[in-house]
Amino acid sequence: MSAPSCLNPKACCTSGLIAALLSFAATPVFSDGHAPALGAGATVSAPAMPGRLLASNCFQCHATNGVGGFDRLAGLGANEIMEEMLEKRAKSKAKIMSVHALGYSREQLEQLSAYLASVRTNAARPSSR
Amino acid sequence: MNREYLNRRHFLSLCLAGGAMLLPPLLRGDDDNNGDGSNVNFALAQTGITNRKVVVVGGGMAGATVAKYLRLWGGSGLEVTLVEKDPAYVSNIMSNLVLSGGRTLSSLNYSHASLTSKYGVQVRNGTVVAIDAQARTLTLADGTSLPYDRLVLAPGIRFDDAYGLTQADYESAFPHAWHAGPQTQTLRDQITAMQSGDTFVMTIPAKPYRCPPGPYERACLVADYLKTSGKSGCKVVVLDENPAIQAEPHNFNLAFTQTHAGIIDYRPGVSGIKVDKTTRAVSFTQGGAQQALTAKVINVIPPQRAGTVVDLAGANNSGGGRWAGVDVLSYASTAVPNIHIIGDASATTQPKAGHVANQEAKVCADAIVRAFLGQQPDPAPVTNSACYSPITNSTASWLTVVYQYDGNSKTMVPSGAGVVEAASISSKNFSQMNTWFNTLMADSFA
Ligand SMILES: Cc1cc2nc3c(=O)[nH]c(=O)nc-3n(C[C@H](O)[C@H](O)[C@H](O)COP(=O)(O)OP(=O)(O)OC[C@H]3O[C@@H](n4cnc5c(N)ncnc54)[C@H](O)[C@@H]3O)c2cc1C
Repeated sequence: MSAPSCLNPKACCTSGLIAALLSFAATPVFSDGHAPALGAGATVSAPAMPGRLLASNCFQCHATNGVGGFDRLAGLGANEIMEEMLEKRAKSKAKIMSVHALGYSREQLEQLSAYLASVRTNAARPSSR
Repeated sequence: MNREYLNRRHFLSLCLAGGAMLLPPLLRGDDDNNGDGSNVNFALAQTGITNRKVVVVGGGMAGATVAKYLRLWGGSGLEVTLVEKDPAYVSNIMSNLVLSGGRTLSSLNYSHASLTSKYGVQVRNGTVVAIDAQARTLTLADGTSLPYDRLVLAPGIRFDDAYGLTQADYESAFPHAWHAGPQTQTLRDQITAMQSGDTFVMTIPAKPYRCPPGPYERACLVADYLKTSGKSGCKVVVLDENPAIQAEPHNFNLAFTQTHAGIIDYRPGVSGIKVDKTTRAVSFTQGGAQQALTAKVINVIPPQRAGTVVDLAGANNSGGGRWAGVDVLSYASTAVPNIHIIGDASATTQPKAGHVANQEAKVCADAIVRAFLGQQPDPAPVTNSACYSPITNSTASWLTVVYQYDGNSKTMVPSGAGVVEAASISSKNFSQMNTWFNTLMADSFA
C-alpha cells in the first residue's frame, strides 16, 4: 500500500485542512514543505533489502523507518532523497546533514535512499476529536 | 523526481499558505519536530525464522534498541527476552540539565512497555547470576533459567572505587551521578545548597569513559546555574586526567574562557587525585606540583568498566579486563561464542555514547538475523554519532561523525569530514537538541 497522495489538490486541500484543524493534538502540520507526520496508529512496513542497515543510521533523528523526527523521509522518492544528500554534500558549512552526506559513498547513499523510498504506510485517518 | 510526492508537497504548501494564520503557534514547526514515531506501529518482517531465542541483558540505550530491532527485522519467530534489573530506565542523556534545574529527573523515565506491546518483546525484571556459555543458558537471581541461541549483553558500565571513595560514598555524600537516578537528585540538592563563594570540584577519568563531552557539559551547566541563581564568587574546578578537552574542544574552550569565564577553572593533565572525606580536601598533581583545595561539593566521575555480567560471561578480555573485545561486524565477543556485547560495555574505536549504542544495536540485530538465515554479517557496516551538548540552560553545541568499517584495522574509522563540531553555540541548537533527544529515545524505546 502506498502513502496517501492527493491527486486533486483543490479538493484535498479543503478536506485536508479541515482534518488538520480538527485534530491539532494528534496531527501536527508543518510549514517547511516536508512530508507531514503520520497519524497515530498508522502502520508502517518495510521490506528487507540492501540499504536497510545503512538507512537505520537515519532513524535516531528521523524516527524508526524514517517516519518523523527532523523531517519525515519515509514515502519520499529515492531521487528526491538522493538529490537532497548530494546538495548537502556540496555545502561546505559545518552542518550535521552535510557531515552525514559526506560520510557515505555515493553507492551507499543510493542504497539507503532506495530503502527509505520502499517504506510503505498504511496510514490511519487522522483521528477527529 | 517523484510526481506523487511533488503533488503532495505542492498541495501542502497551498493549504498552508491559506491556513498558516489559523494555526496555533505550537503547530508552526519552530523546531522541525515532525513527530518522533512513537505513536506509529511497525510491521514485523516476515523472514521465515522460527523458534530462535535471543536473550538481551540490560534495557538501556543499547539493549532496548537491539530487542526492538531483533523483532522488527527478525520477525515473530525470533523470540526476544529482555532482562532488566530496574523497573524503568532513567536516561543519562539530558541528565546534566537536572543539575541546572532545566529538567526534572522524572522527565527522563522510559518504560519498556512499548517493546512488549508494539514488538512482542518479553521483558523480565531480574538480575543475572550465572551464564553457562556451553549449555547456552543464563540463570536469574530468582532461579529462573533462560535458554538462548544468542545472548546479547548490554549492561552499560560500573564504577571503580577510586581516589579514596567507595560505592557506599558514591551512593551517599559523594554522588558521581554518571548513571542517572537517585545520585542525580542528590548532586542537584548539593549544588542548590551551595552558597556564594563556594567551590564545586569535578574530576574526569582518563579515557575511555562514558560520554566524552559529558563532563565538560556538566561543568558548563553547573556554572550556568551558579551564575543565574545569584550565588556570587563560586568556582567550578575541573580536574581532568586527560591532557586536553576530549570532545568539541573549540566550543568547550570558548565556554570555559568566555561564556563561563571567571567561574570554570579547567585543569588538564591532572594525576594522583585523592579525596579526604572528612576535611573535604581534594589533592592532586598537575605539572609536577602537588596541590590541594577544599570544596563544598566534590563530584568525582570514577574510572569505569563494563557491567559485571560481562565478567560473568568471561567476555571482559580487553583493556586489562575492563571491557569486552568485539568484532564490530556483529558485536560478537572475541572471547566467548554466541555472545554479543553492545553499548558502553564493549571496546571499540567509537565513543561510549547513547546515539552510538543505538546504532551498534542495529548492526548487532542485523548480524544475528542474518546468522539465523545462514548468512554472513554485512561486510561494510556504517555507524554514526550525533550529540548535542547544552552549554547553558538555553544554548547548546553539537558534534557529529560517521564511522565506516576499515577492513585493514578491523575497526570503525571516521569517514568523510571526520569528527565535526557546531560552528557556534546557539539557542537554535538547543531547540533542535530536544527533537534529537525525543526521536533518539523513541527509536530506542518505542
Ligand atoms: C551525564 C551524561 C550525559 C550523557 N549525554 C549523552 C548525550 O548527549 N548523547 C549520547 O549519545 N550519550 C550521552 N551519554 C552516554 C549514554 O548515556 C551512554 O553511552 C548510554 O546510556 C550507553 O548505553 P548502554 O545501553 O550501553 O548502557 P545504559 O544505557 O546504562 O543501560 C544499561 C542497562 O543495563 C541494566 N543492567 C546492568 N546490569 C544488569 C544486569 N546484570 N542485569 C539486568 N540489567 C542490567 C541497567 O539497569 C541499565 O538499564 C551521557 C551519559 C551521561 C552520564
